[in-house]
Amino acid sequence: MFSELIKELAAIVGVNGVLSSADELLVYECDGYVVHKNPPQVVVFPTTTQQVADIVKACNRHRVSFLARGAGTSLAGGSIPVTGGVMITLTRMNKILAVSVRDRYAIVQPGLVNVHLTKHLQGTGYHYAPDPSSQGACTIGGNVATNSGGPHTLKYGVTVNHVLGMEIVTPDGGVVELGGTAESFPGYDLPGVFVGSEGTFGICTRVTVRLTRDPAAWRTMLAVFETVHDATSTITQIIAAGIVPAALEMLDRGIIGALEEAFQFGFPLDAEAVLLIEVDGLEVAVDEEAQQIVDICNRIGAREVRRAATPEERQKLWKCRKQAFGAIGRLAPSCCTQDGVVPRTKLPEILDFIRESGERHDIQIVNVFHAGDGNIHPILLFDERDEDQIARVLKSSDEILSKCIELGGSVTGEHGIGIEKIDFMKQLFSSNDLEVMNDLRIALNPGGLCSPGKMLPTAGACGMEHVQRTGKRAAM
Amino acid sequence: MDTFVPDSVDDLVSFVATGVPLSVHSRVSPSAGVTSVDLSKLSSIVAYPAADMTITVQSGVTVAAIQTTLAEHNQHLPIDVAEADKTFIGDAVAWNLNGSRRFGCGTFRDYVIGVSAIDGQGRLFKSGGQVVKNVAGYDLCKLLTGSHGTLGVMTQLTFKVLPRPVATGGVRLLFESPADAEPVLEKLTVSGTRPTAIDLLTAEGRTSLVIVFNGTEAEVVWQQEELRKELGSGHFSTMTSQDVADHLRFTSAVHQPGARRFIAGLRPSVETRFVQQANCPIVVAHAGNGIVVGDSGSLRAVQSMAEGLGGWCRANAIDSQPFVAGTMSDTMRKVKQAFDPSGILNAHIEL
Repeated sequence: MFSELIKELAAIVGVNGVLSSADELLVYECDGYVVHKNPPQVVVFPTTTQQVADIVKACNRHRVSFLARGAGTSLAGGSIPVTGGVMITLTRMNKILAVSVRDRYAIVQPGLVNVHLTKHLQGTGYHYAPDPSSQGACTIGGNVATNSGGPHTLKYGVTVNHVLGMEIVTPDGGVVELGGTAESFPGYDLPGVFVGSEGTFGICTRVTVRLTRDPAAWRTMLAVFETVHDATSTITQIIAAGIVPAALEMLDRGIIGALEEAFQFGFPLDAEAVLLIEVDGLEVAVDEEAQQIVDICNRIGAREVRRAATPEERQKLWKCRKQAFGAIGRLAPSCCTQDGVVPRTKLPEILDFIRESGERHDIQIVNVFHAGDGNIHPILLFDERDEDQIARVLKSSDEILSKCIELGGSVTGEHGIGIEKIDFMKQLFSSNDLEVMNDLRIALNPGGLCSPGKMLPTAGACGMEHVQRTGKRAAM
Repeated sequence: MDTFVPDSVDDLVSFVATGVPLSVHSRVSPSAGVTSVDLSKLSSIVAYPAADMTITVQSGVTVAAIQTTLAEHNQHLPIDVAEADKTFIGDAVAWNLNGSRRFGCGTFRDYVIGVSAIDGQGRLFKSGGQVVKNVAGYDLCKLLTGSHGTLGVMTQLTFKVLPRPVATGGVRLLFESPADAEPVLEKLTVSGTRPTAIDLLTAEGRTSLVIVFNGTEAEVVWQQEELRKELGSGHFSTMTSQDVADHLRFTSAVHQPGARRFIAGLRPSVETRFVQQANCPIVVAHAGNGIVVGDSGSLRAVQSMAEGLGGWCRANAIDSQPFVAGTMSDTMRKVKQAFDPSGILNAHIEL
């Protein structure tokens, strides 16, 4: 069956746009979530919307599942082909098609790397606001699929707040336009629900994004704390005081050490936690806002609050923060990053719980996260060759996410459900909630061939898709 | 027309499950044989953890009541809704009501973080939650916002909220015609200021441009002065916070439905051309967003003009006035079918 399909795919994209040998496919067996792996049967690299539509139609004819992939930076298994099939990799569709500063939009292809858009806009006075830590690698199509966030989304919002419209190849191979370059198109907010649907409603082949005015001025601070509790209390105090910084990030001792080793920024190695805080706005007001924050830090007991003195120092600080995941390689062979969210006042409680859980399961956990949003990223360190460690990591992860739910939060703030957190959906949502979501998926993806096995539980209410997952867990 | 006034969410669930045709969150009068749902008894503020900057309310709470509650902690929802003391939050979200501050602050789509609703099959469901960042499950908050009550009866909503700005002010510029404002609007795209609202107004043959600033006292004053420098002093006057409040009240009122009223969306760069050509007696154009509301004697002509410029236009009519609806896309039809297969929810409203 596949040899015939592969021939058809090669006819669509050319032989240089198809990978099908086992060694080539190995690269695509997982994304940033390394616990579960399964290769596709074939990978295709379309360069046009028409090719994507033709590929999808071919998959439908052969009744073979398919899913889109960008850079494969998902941390929740969003781009793992759990049923095998055809992987449609969009990295060759990476052009900026139009930019209008006057109308504050850019039209881009889905394979464009996030940071390339902002670099392209330098000098215009505008930028693309969502800035995931992986923005140097992740693609805007992937950002659309998972509704990605990033440090500066605290003030500026996540991907969905910046998407005006998109072109979609539907799961049956049709091409539709949702939204456009004007705002608030009449009818249902289809771009709004498509963003974050994890590729289950179709494949995004073009995106119109809103551009954001650059801040006129900024102040970036590094507040150093003797205890994690002091740092988390400071976060809740800043938010409770009605201050919305542009970014408010926390890094604990475990990650500070790895970052210092990697970047030699001068982080205090004996501190239990640091907060990276940025305020932005007009020059006339940023000092006052920064001082309010410094006062709160000092009142809670910060050891010191440093300020980035130059744009270069600021950039280096952000580089350290955004490359924190890379620095983890210094700490352990493998890691699993969680993405829970709690109400911001519950941060001290969840950080205490994470520490206890790590101790209980003898797993080292380091933390670097979007504190201002209450979006935690405990990083559980392990060696994927050790089955017992994996079991303990999964247990601890589950406990932490269950605690997030108990505290009134969610299991994912920006990484998506993917396959990793699918079992939590029944904990987070009622059977009615899941049925309604499933009805929507059936309406928009009736054959179930488009990105199966993602987001919704497979054995829930009547009519839900049943997916036989193949593949392997790491080390098994 | 019958009216049903549920005492509780359970009451409402049971009623919707009977499958009778309903009118809910509706600003358009239904036809005979349809039962109108009055949400006035679903009027509780469910939770307001001010330090988390979120609020959860039932859908029959008025927008004004929410703003009053938030004001106790110096917070607000920065969305302009006319007759806020008479408008239920569920209705405001269902119609995605907004006004001038959508330029700097966004619309309900940017603030609704959780929703509970009853679909056309009587299923009470939720989406989102109580936290400000959450991508678990499909974002049905987005679908329900602006759905005109055709996908579900909203029972409860959670919003993220913002601190109230300390100060507000603005500037007003006068022009001979809408087209004359275009060079100023172009300059504003790279201005050193960061406006909260940019409104082009025409009424009785006069054209003015109002630019609103929020922030600290120092920020507001600095921006007023900066703009005077950037634009020259011409027909330039500063506006006090009271002037701005009056302006926001006026623009919100023009967002209200009316016999000849329309709402259009365009790229901002073609907006002055549209306003000039449409030559309507009253127009409020949110010039940073490309959203235009106003009155016209010929809705079809205005709609055709907007569509000719790559935008859209709908009547914002009341009662039995003609509703210049568009063609519902196939995708939208599928969504409607999933939520309301029997078509009992606001069948009289065309999208």
